[in-house]
Amino acid sequence: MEPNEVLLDDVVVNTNSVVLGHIASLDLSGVELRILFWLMFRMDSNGIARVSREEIASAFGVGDTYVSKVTTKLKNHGLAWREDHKRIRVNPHFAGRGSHEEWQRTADELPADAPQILIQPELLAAAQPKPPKATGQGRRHLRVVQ
Amino acid sequence: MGRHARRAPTPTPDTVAEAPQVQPLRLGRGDQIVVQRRQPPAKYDFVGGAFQQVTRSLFTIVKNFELGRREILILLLLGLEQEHGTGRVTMTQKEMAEELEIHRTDVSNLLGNLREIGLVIQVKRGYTSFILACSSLGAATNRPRSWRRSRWMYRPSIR
Repeated sequence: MEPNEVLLDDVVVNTNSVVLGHIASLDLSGVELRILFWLMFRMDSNGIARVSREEIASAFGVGDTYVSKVTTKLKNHGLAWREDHKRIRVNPHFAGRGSHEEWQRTADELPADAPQILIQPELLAAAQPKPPKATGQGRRHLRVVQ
Repeated sequence: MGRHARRAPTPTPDTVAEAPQVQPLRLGRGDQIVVQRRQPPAKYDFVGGAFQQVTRSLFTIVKNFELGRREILILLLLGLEQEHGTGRVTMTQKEMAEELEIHRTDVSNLLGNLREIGLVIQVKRGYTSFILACSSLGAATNRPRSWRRSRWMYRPSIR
């Protein structure tokens, strides 16, 4: 392997498909999206990214004030919020790392007053599982009984 | 065999499963059959009930290559529109442009950038099909073949 090549790892981040579609409709800029994705990269199985504001600022080449604005914006959208000076929590209803059970547990342990993601009703309606296709419509002897 | 060796329990008539009886069914004129299709059990109860697995490296690629907002949106769109199990996305560039409300030539340029990085593979020309190398819908058992092929390497120094 050449030194400038990086092997993709097998670490999987589970993300909610509906919220991913919801993110596309938000007014997040490219840098804000990259910061959000970077937090998802840094988060552990509890959904906590241990990064400080200065660390994010130096990683993306932006100012500390701008990072504060971005985290506030992400909190308003319910995607991620600051727990303390060096910890940012990614909403487990949006993304989780590790097994499915860990993801579910992290979401269950979320306090009731945590920021919530408000999704448009049409996105939710589109995400509902579709009923199975009707079969036997064209057959003469098998008809659907109401 | 010793006296205290474990023996298999002798099946009693109550514990022996009955062999399924197959009986041919003949329909007469005027008979009706009601078929109730069983819904698969939900394995997750998050909003919408659908989730997407994304390799963690994708997020570093997004940062290292400084992908723009529209490139990220195309990635999100392709990830959401991919077929369950195969990971294949069948959308024309015109459809993508209408979905993202941008021009079709911009979609072509953005897809070219993503293809250059290696995040998107064009399978067929004309009617555009893509395989997303870093993301899959559904459960871990349904990972598409592209996921296994995604153990490739990317060069951060291409740009």
